[in-house]
Amino acid sequence: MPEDAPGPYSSEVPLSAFVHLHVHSHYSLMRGVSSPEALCRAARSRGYDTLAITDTNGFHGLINFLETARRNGIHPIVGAHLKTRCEEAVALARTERGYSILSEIISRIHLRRDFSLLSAFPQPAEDVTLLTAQAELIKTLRDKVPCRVEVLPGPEGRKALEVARELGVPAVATGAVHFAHEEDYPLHRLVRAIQCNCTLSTLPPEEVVHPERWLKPAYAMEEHFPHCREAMANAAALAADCRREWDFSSLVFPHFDDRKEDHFELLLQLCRKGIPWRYNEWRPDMEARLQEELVLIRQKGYVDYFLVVADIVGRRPIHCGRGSAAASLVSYLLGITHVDPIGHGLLFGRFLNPQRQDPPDIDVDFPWDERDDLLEEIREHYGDERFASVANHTGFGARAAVREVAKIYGIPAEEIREVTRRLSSWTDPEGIGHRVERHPKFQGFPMDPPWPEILQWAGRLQSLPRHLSTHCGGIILTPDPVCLHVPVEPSRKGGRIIQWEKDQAERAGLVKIDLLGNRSLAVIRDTLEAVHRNGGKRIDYAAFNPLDDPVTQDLLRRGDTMGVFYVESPAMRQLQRKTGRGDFRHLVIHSSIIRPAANRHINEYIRRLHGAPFQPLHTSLAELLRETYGILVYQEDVVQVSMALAGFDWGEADGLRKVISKKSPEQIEDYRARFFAGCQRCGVPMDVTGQVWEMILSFAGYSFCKPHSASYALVSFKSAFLKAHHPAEFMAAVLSNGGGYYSTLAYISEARRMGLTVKGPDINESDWSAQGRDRTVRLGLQQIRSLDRETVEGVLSERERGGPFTSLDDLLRRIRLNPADGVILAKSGALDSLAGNLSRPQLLWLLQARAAPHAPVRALQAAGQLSLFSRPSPPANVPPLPQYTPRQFWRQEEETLGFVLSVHPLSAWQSEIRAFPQTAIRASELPRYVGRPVWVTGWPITRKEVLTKAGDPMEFVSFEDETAIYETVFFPEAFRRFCQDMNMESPYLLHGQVQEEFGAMSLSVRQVVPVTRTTSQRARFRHKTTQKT
Amino acid sequence: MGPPDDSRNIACLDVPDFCASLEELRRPELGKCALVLAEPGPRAVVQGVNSAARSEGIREGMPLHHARRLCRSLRVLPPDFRFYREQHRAIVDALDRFSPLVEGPSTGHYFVDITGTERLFGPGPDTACRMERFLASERRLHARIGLAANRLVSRVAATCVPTGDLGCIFPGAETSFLEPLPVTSLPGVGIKTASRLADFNIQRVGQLAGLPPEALASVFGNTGHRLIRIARGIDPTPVLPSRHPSRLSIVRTLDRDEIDRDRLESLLFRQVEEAGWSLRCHNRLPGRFSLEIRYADGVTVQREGPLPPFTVQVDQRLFRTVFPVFRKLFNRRVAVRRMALELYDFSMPLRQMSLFPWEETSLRGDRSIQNALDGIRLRFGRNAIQWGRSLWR
Repeated sequence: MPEDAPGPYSSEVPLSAFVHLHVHSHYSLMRGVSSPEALCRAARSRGYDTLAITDTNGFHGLINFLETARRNGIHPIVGAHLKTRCEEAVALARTERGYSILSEIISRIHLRRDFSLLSAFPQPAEDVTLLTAQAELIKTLRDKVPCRVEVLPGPEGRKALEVARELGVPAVATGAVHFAHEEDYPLHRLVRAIQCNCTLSTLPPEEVVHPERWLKPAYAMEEHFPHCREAMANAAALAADCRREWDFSSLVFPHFDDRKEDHFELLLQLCRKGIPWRYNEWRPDMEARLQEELVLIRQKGYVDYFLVVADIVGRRPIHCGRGSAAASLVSYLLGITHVDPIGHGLLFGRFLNPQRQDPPDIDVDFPWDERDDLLEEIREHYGDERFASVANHTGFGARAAVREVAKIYGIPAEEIREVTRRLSSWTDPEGIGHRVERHPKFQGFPMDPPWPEILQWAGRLQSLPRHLSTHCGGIILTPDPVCLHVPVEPSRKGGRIIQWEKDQAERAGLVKIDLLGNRSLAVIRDTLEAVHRNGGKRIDYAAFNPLDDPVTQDLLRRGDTMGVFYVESPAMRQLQRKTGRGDFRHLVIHSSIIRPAANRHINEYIRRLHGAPFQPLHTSLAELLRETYGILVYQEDVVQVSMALAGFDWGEADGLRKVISKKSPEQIEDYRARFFAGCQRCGVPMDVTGQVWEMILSFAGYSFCKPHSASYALVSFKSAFLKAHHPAEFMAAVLSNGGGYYSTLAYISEARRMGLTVKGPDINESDWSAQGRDRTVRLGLQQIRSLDRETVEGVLSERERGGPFTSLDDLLRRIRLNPADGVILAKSGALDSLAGNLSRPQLLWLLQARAAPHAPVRALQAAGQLSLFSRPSPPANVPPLPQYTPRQFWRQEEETLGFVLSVHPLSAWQSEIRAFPQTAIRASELPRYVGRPVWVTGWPITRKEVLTKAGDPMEFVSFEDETAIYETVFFPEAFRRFCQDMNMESPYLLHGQVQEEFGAMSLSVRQVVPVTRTTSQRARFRHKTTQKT
Repeated sequence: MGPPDDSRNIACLDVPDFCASLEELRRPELGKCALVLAEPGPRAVVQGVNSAARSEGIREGMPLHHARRLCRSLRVLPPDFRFYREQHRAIVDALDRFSPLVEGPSTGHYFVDITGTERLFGPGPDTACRMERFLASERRLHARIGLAANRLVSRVAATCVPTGDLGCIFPGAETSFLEPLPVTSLPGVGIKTASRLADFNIQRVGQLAGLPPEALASVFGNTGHRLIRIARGIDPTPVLPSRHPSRLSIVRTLDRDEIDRDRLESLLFRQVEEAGWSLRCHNRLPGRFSLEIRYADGVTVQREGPLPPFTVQVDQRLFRTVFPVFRKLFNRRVAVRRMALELYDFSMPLRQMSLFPWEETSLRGDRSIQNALDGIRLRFGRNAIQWGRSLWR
């Protein structure tokens, strides 16, 4: 920004007597375009020492504003621009009570559409000052609230002055600022056009502000008000009146059961009750640990918090308490977590310790389909007023930014898709233009005008919040109404969300509880139920502990873990294979070490695991990192290593951990200097310091603490146990819950490789979801695309009521089936068992003949007396129609299920594959060709693009054929050549070298030939020319 | 209703890749290289191909950048639809020598009813071949010809033979000719109908023709009867000679797709001015106008409307009539590629005085300004003086 040159505390610019009291940041969503940071910096550089931010109906960025103002030497004034249907005013809080009043008013504006500011102040409120140009508001409210007339530059300001004179109310000059700099006006117009769904030329004038609404310096403001200097002075006086030190540091805990007395005794009782449930033997060291935790919990005021979380998890038996809370014995005894912290050596200090200032939160996973009901239950129990979800400030991802700007430029949808498709793996709009220039996916793809301009604007949308959405798990429970602490809004789902995202909520002292949806827990739940339904024993989830099961350990060791929680990604399966370890201790390490930035350390870990000799990085770390082969694996390692080597105290070391996770370059650089200086002081050699720092940097992005990894590893073990011992039930549950990392087709192939039979949906056999029994998986009716859910529910309830359908006539008589659903059911094969002698085409004919719109029974159907198919007697004869060929059947499966079910999809391409001159080997034979070039056919099932150290993109793609899954690597050169030819919906012939590392195979791809109906000839030609060259 | 099928003799001439062939003839320097027709612009779509490009796998509707990837030596020309239409009309007129009943439903396709011309030109197949030779020698265009007792069968027959050949279906042989053909070869069986028929595993015309009409009607309703008729080669529609009513078209294809409404309105104003100037020069009064907008994604919208008498005498008045129509048409967030203003239904400017004197005064004032503008332009050139509205570029 051009005018930001003077530093935050610079005294070069003389301080101004005027203060801007009406300023919108970009938290006036899709209206303001400058961040609080940009506004504060601009204010400081233009000579202001005080600034108000008054976003429309919100305090969305309040905590950020207060912090950035402090950093920039600005006195913050807290206020909001209140806007109802026909009223508008700026309200400034003068005290903390004033803030609460405003927060409540804002909440009411959002929650009640007919809310009027005239009724906003039932009690006189000296803590708030109102600025408005609306005479009606001032007349009504002046007795309850201090009022001022807001005077803007321009003609409307003159009218306001008249109002002020008429009512005898002081006038206050404001700039109604919407952007920090004059040159931000086009960005304001752009976001308004996006919001109004129009183009720049069709943007209604009333939807944009005047180009002069930028943060002008005082002298420029004075030029607007030569006729009323007192309005400028009044602004400064009011600012002085509203200036105060805002403090949001006190913690707001949930309150258990809304009682006021101390609940420590209750917590103690519950812990004692949990001891015999969790432990057979209770040793003195355990008691000491419990006492230590309880004392700290009481000291820190966490008693109610634990009780509330225990109350919540008690409502759903299947859950997984994770995060650092899993290090707590109290959590374990209360049933919040399921990993024994003493047995697995988890340190409570990671969760709560005397030095920790920020509020640690407890994260609990629940089956994904139970979460919404659970939240509703909590809301009902604790009351609407005390409960709200945390918000996400949803901004523009790279694709959304490009799409929205391109629409403004009138680019056709198809063309936009062509560009955004190539941006798929990028999430950050910043620097899109630069990346587009370099990325292979745009090689040869013309980005002619106006695209460069579009990309430039798209980049500027970065960091602009667009709307609020509900955070995936965070909830707030407060002892008093939430809206006294922060404004709340209705969410799209119908609940309430606070206006802050998790970071601001945390910094404002709101202690949140994370309740997250997890598909794998639903898989485990459904498998356990199916096992019991099929005559097996009922397994209690909480007590279920398969860590020593050899079959499970063997499955994990082999990496045959598709469908298993957290261990199913290609990288994780490869790691399991390479290490050859399936025990719990190593799985905990693997769950944590598999970080994007830790590749080099993973390889070193595998070498050491297989016996390669190594020296500890430093003698003081030998014992600390013994368990992890001398490599930093857990977040605690970062903390403990920096304490041991650099002499950090716990707070500083934990700060380093947090900064590394958030990838803030300036802060990392600051910590780097401190770390190196600390190590030097402690006499650590420079090269060791460098190596350790490099390892610490591998924690950038995301990383886990050991308790978290242990919690996840336990769920992985439970999941793997069920896959090993109850494969049909498990795979059916995986399919029912929408899988995870892979497509449905990939899971079906995996089920077949496991020796299971996978049957298609059937009107009499299938339930809503897939069911497994006796090595057979029967797909559910949910698998059929575009089938109306009500129809399926009708079928299932009628089948339960009246037994299986005996014939097509019986089905059509009993069910009100709409014609489109009938056709879809028939095409999916679900009606084959009722077809009798009819071929599939005849079945479709019959269904369509009965549903034809000209049929005489339509009148009755319209009256709701008959199903669309109902007829008193069979319709006209069905003509003889030949049965389909297998290809036609496969096509219908693909149309209705989304994949070919009867055979592997590659089978449908055998004739095309045979037309190629290359002879492809089977994927299962790859181990026999290590080090040799081969051709192999494959259907892609998942892919992941990454960057090399040099910043070049490359890709890992998993393929499968009829015999096995295999991993391929597209190094930068291969990626550059073939990335534009690859999609996930067609087969390929791949040529490359087979590589083996610690027993895990992969193919380093050199050539890719798409297999299509028309290109086999072309591919043959291309192959010949390649051979020649 | 024309005469019964068996007494008719209808030839269908189909010139494959008509537009690209015309371009090849117009620019012999192109030789036999792969050629496509596409609008200028970064995201152009192929609108026409020649046989060399077709053999490379390039098809109409394909994005140009994709086509370039298939054939690196591809030549690209902007389509000149006006020229193609003129050529098409010239061929329709030239075929007049074989029969008065010539219809050109679309560029490169011609139906000629040669019923009753045996005594003049000889048997039908000879006449058809003569027409093909005529096109080849006079126009250097190569057609494939279908000859049958009705339009439908002759059209299908034309698609079954290579260029320069004749497919002759004798009366009574229609059904056996159509039987083995795929249902998609029937005009009127589009993607949707073919897909429904494929559901019933009906792939060939013969299968369709063999179905009982009432059974087909039970599934397809009235469409079933039509399907049976075309599958059995029944088509009584006559060949109707084409009419070319006079129209004034002012078409602007933009160099760069435009989304700015003000610029588009300025462009429209210039089109209006051009139309007004032209009509005043030719002393014609249009009764109606049509405005067509083609968006960058190929979607075309069009509206027609009446023109109040004498509107064209004053550009501003003509614009005021067309402008609301433009506002209604331009309602998508997609840039515009082409705007076409057409005026038609012409009459001579025989003027009747208005009943209301104030209207006369107002019109007189506007006309004075317009006359002054026209006078200046006549003397100093078209761009010598302009309305501010048209200067927005």
